Amino acid sequence: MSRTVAALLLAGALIGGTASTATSAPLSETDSVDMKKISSTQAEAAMNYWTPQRMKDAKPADSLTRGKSASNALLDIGESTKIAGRSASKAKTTASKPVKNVAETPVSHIGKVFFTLGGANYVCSGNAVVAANEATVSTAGHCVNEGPGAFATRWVFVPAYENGSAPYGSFAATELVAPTQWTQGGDITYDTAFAVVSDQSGVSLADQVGASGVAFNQARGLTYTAFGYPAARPFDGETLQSCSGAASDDPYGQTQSQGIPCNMTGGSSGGPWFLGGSDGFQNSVNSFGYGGIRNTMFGPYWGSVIEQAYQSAQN
Amino acid sequence: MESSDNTKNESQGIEPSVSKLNATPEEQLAYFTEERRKTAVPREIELPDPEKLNDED
Repeated sequence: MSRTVAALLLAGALIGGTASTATSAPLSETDSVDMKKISSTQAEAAMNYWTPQRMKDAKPADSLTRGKSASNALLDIGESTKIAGRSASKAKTTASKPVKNVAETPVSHIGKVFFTLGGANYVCSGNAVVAANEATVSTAGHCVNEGPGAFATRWVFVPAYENGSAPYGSFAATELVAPTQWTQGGDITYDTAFAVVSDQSGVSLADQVGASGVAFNQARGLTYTAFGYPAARPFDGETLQSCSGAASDDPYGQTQSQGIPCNMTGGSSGGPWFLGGSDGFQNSVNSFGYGGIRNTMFGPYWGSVIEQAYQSAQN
Repeated sequence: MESSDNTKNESQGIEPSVSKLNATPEEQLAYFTEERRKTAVPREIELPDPEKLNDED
């Protein structure tokens, strides 16, 4: 029996309460593995404990290792959720490119966001996501609300924008939804929001441009492709850009957000992070950077709080 | 344990904030003319490097 299996079986025996003690075996000088000796009775009890149902219900180990994050904030971990997206008849998609900061051809469900906040007009990025109302756009919390403070008073989504062209027109918001942790607390860990938009002559946003699937409570450290319309120099906001790479924790431990290698600038905020390419599940948005860390874009961890905001918007 | 539970309530048990827009979709679309779209300010958040803040202190 391998040590790994033995350790798992021991854990099962202990969890099941069928083994009261475990005997430590002496380690040889060359053996750095923490090895436990299991009696045949304990092993049999463990085998009995791990029924197919218990194996099915077991939580992934990554949910345990997440607790080692340097952040003081409580980890927002819930049940893993993935909701598949849908294509539009007119949708144009591109394959993801595993290189950072390249110009992309427009993607039908990704677009620019224009809004008025505190009397000024701003530009961000957003993405149409699968929704019961067929009219939900994801973006950053700071692209709908001051965090903490007022909500935007005007908010418009322009999918597949490129060089002034808007092939699918524009969709105005009727409702903005964001975690209260952002709108009242300004906690950047929850910097995500959703907008519900009006249809165009009876045709919904999702019917026009398609909608990405969404995923919540996924493992940390996954590989993402981020999209957005960076408008601050050296970009001009006229074309869709992308970055891709493996996510890593906030090196300062100030947030639960994760960072990927990316040079995108202001205006890309709210752009989607996909698991895979632009046809993958969305699992975060462009959120913030650190002044002292060049070329890294951070995105919030989409846990239960952000899932709750999504559910509120999409129903 | 008590503080941990309170934190959990604060971070996970709060209903999201919802804002209904007063302006109609037509008013909003009419407002964002090509000129206003071109002059819109890129929204971004850059957090200060905490190590730098400590140095300044």
